[in-house]
Amino acid sequence: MASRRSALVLPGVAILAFAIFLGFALLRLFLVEQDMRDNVDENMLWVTTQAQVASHRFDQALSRRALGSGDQAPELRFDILVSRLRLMDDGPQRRYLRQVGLEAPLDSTLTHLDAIDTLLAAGSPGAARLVAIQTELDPLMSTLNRIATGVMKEEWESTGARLDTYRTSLIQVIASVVGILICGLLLIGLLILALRQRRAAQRALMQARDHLEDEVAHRTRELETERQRVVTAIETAPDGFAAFDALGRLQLTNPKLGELLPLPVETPPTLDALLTHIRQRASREEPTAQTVDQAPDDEMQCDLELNDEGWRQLTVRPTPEGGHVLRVADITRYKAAASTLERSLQRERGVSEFYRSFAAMVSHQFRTPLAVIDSGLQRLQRRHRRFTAEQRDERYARLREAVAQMTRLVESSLTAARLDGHQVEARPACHSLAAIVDHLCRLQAEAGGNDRLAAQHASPAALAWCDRALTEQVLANLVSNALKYSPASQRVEITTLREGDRALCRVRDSGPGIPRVEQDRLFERFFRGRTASGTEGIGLGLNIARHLARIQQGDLEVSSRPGEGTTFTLRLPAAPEESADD
Amino acid sequence: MSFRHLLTITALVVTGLAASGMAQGQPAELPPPEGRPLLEVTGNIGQTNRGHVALLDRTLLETLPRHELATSTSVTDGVKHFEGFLMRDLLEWIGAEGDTVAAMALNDYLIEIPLQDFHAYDVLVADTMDGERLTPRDKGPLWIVYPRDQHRELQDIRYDYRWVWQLYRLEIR
Repeated sequence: MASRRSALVLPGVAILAFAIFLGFALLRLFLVEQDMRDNVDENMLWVTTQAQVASHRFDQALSRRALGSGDQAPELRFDILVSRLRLMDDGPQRRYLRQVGLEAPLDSTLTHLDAIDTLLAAGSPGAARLVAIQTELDPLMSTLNRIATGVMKEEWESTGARLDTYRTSLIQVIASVVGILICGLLLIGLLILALRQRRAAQRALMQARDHLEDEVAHRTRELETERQRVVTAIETAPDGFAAFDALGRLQLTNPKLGELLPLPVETPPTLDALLTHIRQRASREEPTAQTVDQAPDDEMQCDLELNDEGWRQLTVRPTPEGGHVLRVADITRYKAAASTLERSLQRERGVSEFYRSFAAMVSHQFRTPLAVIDSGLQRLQRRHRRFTAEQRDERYARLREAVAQMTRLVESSLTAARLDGHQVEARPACHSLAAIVDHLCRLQAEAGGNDRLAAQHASPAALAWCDRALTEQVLANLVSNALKYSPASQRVEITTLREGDRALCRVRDSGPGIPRVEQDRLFERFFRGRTASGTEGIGLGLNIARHLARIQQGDLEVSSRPGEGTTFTLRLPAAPEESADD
Repeated sequence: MSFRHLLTITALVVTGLAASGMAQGQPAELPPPEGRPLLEVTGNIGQTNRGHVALLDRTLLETLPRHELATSTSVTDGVKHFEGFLMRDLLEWIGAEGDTVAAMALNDYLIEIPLQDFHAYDVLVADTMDGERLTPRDKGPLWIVYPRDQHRELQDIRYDYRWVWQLYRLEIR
């Protein structure tokens, strides 16, 4: 700013000096012009000499009249002389003479003129009057001559003074012109300098602009390349992408998105609409970070199982500009692998549980029968000779019974351990409970030869959705218990029926019944009721039976009243009546 | 322009119209002068009354349209009121044809004036000043007066010498 102001000082001073010089020169010239125009006194010498001439012509006319020559009229010449002197007496002329100190001589001539006029008016001039006129005329003429000399001297003086003034003015004007010239040259120099600076500045500006344009073009190319790279990356990405602006409007998608998601036919207007649309077509949804219900202001991630299209992982992330980016990844294979792994892990856990459970049962339950067998064998060994053959046979039979019980115990323990380790799988199909019960009764009759079982079918087939082998195992356990815990004279009633969406099988005995307090613990492992103390058993049968019922989506219940008998009810999912396998 | 100038110009226009009417009514022959001639005109003229000369006495001159002119002069103080006739009217009356006129005064002052002056300006040949008749003792009997105040270009010494006073003779060349 300061340099700019100082840059203006020099031109300003030059222009000011230029104006001052020019104004001074013009003023000088104007004054000279005025002086020349006002110069009226030059005429004064002419006026005076003409008055002199007139006086001489009057004198000449008088002389000729005296000599007798009548053609010259002194009166006319006198009139002319009078007019001449009156002219000198007029305002401007008299003022001039007063200024130069010649007023008194003028008055003197006018006095003489009046005297001559008086003499002339007296009539035709005789010799005496001519002499008198001459007497007045001579001083008039000499005074006029004096005035003429004075005027001449004054005019020459004033002309000289004026010339001096003119010369001074001229020198001043010339000096001013030289000053004007110098100022002009200075201004021209400054102008050339300014033009040169401006041209340099323009050139620098052009260069800067060219450079800027190059830079912009370069940056534009780089940006375009970068954009192309991003577009290519997005286009060829294994995941689907969609970008939304701050108002939720769709800005960009890649082709993969359409392959991975069931996009609506019309372009989804907003992110919310797209998410709603996808959720409507999802069969399962597992949130990983947050669910899709969350407002998409923050980050959100969830896994969706689309109908018949596998699993997709949706990730919504906010962008710095206030918009959002949706990423859709196909995680079907990942999910499949995960579930396979999950199943393997479950299986391994089951196996482990199986061994642990089996080991626990063996350590808990096997000692007693083994001790019984061992003590029986020791007694046989010691008293072998004292025993009769019948006694020995009885002892052997009891030992075999103990071994048989152990075998059953091992089988029951294996079954229970398998159940604990989830090693037992139900393969359900449609089976008739009535058929199963009848088959069981038949086998029982063939094996035991008794006819205590009485089957009764309220529903013709009582179709159930179950695993036949497992159901047979449950029913066999129930029938075995009923036969075992009721008097041999009493019958065991087996009833099949349908009840709503369940197929039921009831096994009822007329035994001693089970106290209320024991009913709740009846299905616990190794629990044995007080009423069952006189009967052999290990307390695994009902526990296993209920497990087997439950893995078929069914259940096993008990209802009993001491002294009146006990009823076990197996409930299984009913199957449509027309879809029986057998 | 002052009110006085306006009056003067109005007067000039009115009297000028009257002059043209009178000029048409002029007799072809110039009558001989009855009194002492004030002005004699020679040279290339169409009207004469003695030989090749037109002699004009006051009576004849007063037949020309009268005009007034108020102006300052270079040799007097203040504005003077002149009366007389236009040089243009006179030249037309006597049928003057030429480029210049040589004006001669009683004191043998002889000046040539371009005739164009009289057509360009209303140049007056005055015989009275401020209501008084001009005499040879003053600047009479006739004085050529230019309208100095009405035209700025006339305020110049190159016109001042054309103000011939004590005029008595004109020669058309």
